[in-house]
Amino acid sequence: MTILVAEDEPMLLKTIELKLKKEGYEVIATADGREAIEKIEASSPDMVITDIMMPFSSGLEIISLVRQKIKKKIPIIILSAIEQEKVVLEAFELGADDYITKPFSLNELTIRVKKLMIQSERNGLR
Amino acid sequence: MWPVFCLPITNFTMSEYPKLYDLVILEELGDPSAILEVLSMFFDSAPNDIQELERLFIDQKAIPLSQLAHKIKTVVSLLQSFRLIELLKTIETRTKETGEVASVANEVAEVVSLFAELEKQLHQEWEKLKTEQSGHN
Repeated sequence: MTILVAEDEPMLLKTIELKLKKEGYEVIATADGREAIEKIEASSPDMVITDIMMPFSSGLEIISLVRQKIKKKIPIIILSAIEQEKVVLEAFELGADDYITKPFSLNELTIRVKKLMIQSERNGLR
Repeated sequence: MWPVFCLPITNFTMSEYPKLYDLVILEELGDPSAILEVLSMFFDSAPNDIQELERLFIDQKAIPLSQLAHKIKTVVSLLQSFRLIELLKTIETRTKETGEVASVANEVAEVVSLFAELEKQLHQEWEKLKTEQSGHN
């Protein structure tokens, strides 16, 4: 299963990538929103994990695009800072499935990913 | 001519600092080589970010200073460096709200000072992890 991770802080991006790869996922890692959109359209991943504030295109734009243009219902997890509560609500309205507040436990992120993958399978969305 | 904005002198001495980090999040990677990989990224980029933070303060660039404080906060959050997180959050929010940098002079000075110690402590951790890893290989 492939997960696209969009996060503009390289050290956090690498950390998430290493953890998800250890858990057996294939990871497409990208540090900017525009590239994330291109890669989602090209590769149609099984899940998207995205930061909200990123250069060129925000996480919200990524959610909009995924929900409007991609037929497959891709589960989306938002990475947010604690002070971004309002934006998280907006993200849910646009179609995000879950969120996790930075800094977060990598094990918690992994559990959320697994849970969402199972839910998505049960709903026959993948 | 001296710049109008310069950082206040802090009263800390290096020996006063407790451990400034906790690798609990990175340990969840479950692999010392992965921790070393992430720490090497920290050594490559974070010192430059701190230099840039100082420069933005001196040049009185409030919004870029706020954005950079946010970025560094993400990095030190991974290292559970709580005092730095708190200081960077203050710098981020106050400069964003006021549009000026003067009110965060003490915080920027403390970040610079604490960061130097954090870097030193993490280099020691790095050496320890390297030694442990070579012992296992």
